[in-house]
Amino acid sequence: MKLLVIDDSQDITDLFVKVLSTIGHEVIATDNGKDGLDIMNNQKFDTVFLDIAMPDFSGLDVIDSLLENGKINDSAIVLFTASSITDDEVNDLIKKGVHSCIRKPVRIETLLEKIDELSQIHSEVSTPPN
Amino acid sequence: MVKSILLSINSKIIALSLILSLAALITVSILSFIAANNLLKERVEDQLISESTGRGTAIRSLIETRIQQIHLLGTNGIIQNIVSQLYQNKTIDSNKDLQVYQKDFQLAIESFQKVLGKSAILENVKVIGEKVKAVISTDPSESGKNYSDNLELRRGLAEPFVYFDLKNNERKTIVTVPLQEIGNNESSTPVGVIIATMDTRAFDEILLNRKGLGETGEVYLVNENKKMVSESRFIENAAFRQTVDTLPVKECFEKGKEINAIYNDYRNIPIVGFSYCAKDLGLVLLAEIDEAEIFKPITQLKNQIIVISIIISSIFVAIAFYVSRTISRPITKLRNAVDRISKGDYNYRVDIKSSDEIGHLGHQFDEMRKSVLETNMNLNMLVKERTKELTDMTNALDATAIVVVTNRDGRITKINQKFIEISKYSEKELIGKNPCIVKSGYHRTEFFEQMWKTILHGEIFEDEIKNKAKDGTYYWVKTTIVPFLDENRQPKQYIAIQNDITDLKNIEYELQEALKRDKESAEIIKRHVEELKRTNIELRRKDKLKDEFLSMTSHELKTPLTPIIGWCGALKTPRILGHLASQQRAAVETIESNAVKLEKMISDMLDAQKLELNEMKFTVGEVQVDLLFNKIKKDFEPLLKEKNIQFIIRAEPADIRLESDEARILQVLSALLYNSIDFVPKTGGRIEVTAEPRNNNIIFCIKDNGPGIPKDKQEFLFKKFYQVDTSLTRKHGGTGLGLAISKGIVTRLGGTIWVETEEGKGSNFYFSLPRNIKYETSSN
Repeated sequence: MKLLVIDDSQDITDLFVKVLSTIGHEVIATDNGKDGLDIMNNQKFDTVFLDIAMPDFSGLDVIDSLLENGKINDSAIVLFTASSITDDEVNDLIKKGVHSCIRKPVRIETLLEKIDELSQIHSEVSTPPN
Repeated sequence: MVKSILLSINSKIIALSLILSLAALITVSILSFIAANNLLKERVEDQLISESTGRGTAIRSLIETRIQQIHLLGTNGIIQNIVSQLYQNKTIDSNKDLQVYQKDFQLAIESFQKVLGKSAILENVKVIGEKVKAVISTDPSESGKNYSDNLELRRGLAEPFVYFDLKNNERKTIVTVPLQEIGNNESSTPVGVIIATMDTRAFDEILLNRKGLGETGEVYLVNENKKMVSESRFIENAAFRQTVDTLPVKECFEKGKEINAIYNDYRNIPIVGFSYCAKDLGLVLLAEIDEAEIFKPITQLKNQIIVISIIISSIFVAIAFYVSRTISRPITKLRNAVDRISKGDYNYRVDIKSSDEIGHLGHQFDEMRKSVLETNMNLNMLVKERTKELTDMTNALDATAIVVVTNRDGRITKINQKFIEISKYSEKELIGKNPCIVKSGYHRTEFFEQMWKTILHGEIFEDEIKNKAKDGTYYWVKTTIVPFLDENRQPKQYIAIQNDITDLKNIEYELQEALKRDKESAEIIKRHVEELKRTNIELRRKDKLKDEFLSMTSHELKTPLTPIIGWCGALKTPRILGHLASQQRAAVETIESNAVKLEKMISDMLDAQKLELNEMKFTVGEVQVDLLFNKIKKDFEPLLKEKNIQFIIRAEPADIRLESDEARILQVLSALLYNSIDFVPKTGGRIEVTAEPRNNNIIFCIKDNGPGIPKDKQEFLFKKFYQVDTSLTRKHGGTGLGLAISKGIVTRLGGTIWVETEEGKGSNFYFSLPRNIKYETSSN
């Protein structure tokens, strides 16, 4: 799968890249929303891991732009956040096209489970049954 | 009063029966009296008529008999011889002749006496010649005497007649018959008379026979000289001495009439008399009986009737008295009861045993009395209460307010102590005066005109009045004047109630003054307030900043934990970063567990903060307990397995549903489970999680076999940052916020949380949640 990780903490993006590439995925990371959005405009990703609380251009701004461009459904958007948004807000976003939300701090086990879940959907979509 | 009623009932009955009985008796007796009277009168009249006419006729015939007897004597030869001598006008004057005739005459009379027998005794007989005036008498001394002037001779020559006379104190019948010569012409003039003096025995026999005349009846004769000529029954020797100048005598001799009447007799005693008038004989016969005797039976009857009347009346009265007593006794009882009750003795019982109308009445009356007694008692109580209330009210009024009563002219008739107290005038100075005595001059004339207008119209006046006391001080009263109207709707008196509001007025005045003074200060205050408002806005802004700070802090604190925990996880996963030596792995695990603990601590602190600020968000939806438990099982199984803790989790029944916040329930259960995991023994630890419905609640229970909690510590269990044993802090990590947060969440979800534990016997943590939170609390 082709994955994009957007988080202002490089410690986190490094972790994601290391873990996810180790298990055989193509991972690109960026530390701000604006860059992330540019990357998303140029390349197609199966899944985007998006941090919400980022300075200047937050994850929510990214989602708003995607909604404006009509590209929200191009990738499976997985939010990860500490406690800056509530469950209700998460549900609202899911209704708008976001795939799911992982609460920080993210455990490796949780991350791997999420990747497995998304891989399954991906393989169903990319390899339709003959 | 008592007596008059008693008399009236008894006496009415008695008088009525008396009147009835007497009326009947009187009627009967009058009728019988009249009947008896008539009968008696008739009988007596019949008797007297028969006696008077019978005896009168007998007397008349006896007189005629006497005349005929003497007439017969006149036909005697010797007498005729004398008569013839007399016709020859020969004078018998010689003694010799006289002696001859005397002797013959006496012989002739004697022989004639024999003929008469004893029916009549000839006591003296003399023959008187008319012309020769010779007399021959049975009494020789009389013979030869001159009787020419004899009155009897004159009358006797004309007709025979009989009269009665008294001679030698004896009554005699004197019969005078004219003498005629036999053989000569019958109508020849008589030449003399024969005068016979006879006894009156025969007459007496007729008159003095009192048979059929009762005890007072008598029959007697009266002559033309109104002298009684027979004996009286009542007076000795009445004959020729007793004058009888009574009604029948007059009637007979003056009018020739016979009468039957009641009149007074010669004794001047009322009698019933019948007369037999023989005016031709110069006699009237009277048959009389005392009226008293005649009516004696009637008198007796009268007496008897009276006696019987008295007896019958007495019996009637006695019966009436008895009847009236039997009637009046209960009535008297009833009336006594009425008297007693009217005097206020309502406990007096009417004791009438009879079963008649009066008994019924008595019973009814008694019932009535009871109800009256009851009503009276209730009324008394009510009156007492009301009086008490009124007294209390009056007292309360007197204690707090001035009361002034004035008459229609506005003169004070009554005041209370309060008025004296406040006005400083004495009662004497106030009574009879106009209340304007306390006028202060503060109010305008129109004010009082308006007041009078109001109360004269019968309306209540209310206002505040400034008055002046005797000592010149002023006082304010809140005044209410109530006019009381008479039947013509004209005010007859006014009652004024006044409350002293002088202090209030003073305060009001001071306030107004202060207000004036403070107007400027108010401006300053206004400015201060505006300043405060601004400060407030600033504070709110700062508060918001604080919240944002909190949110930011959590993020900032959690963000570095993500790579720490993440990298630890990556290190532990051999396929990512290769295998670690066992010591390295232990180090990584220690780092990870502490990082997790730190994260948990941050979360707890945030939750506690949110609960405190009432900012925790809840999402209510349907919670399926079995699914919830599966999640718990999945989350906790690795940890429990690792710690070798026996774990049981079940819901009974399996399909329990409730309307609540699933995530928060999970949070509470997790907190309690972590708590239990911390406290169960290292080996043989056991935790049981159950859920069961009870009424409208679902009870969750987390049961462990830990050391339990001492009683004195239990009450602090749900307090923030509390740990049972501070020395255990190291052993049992945790923030000390788990239970406090759980309590906060459960409370906000409308439930309660509690613990049942005993030292050494494990702990049972319970929390109950309503099936439907909407009905229990308004969710915030």
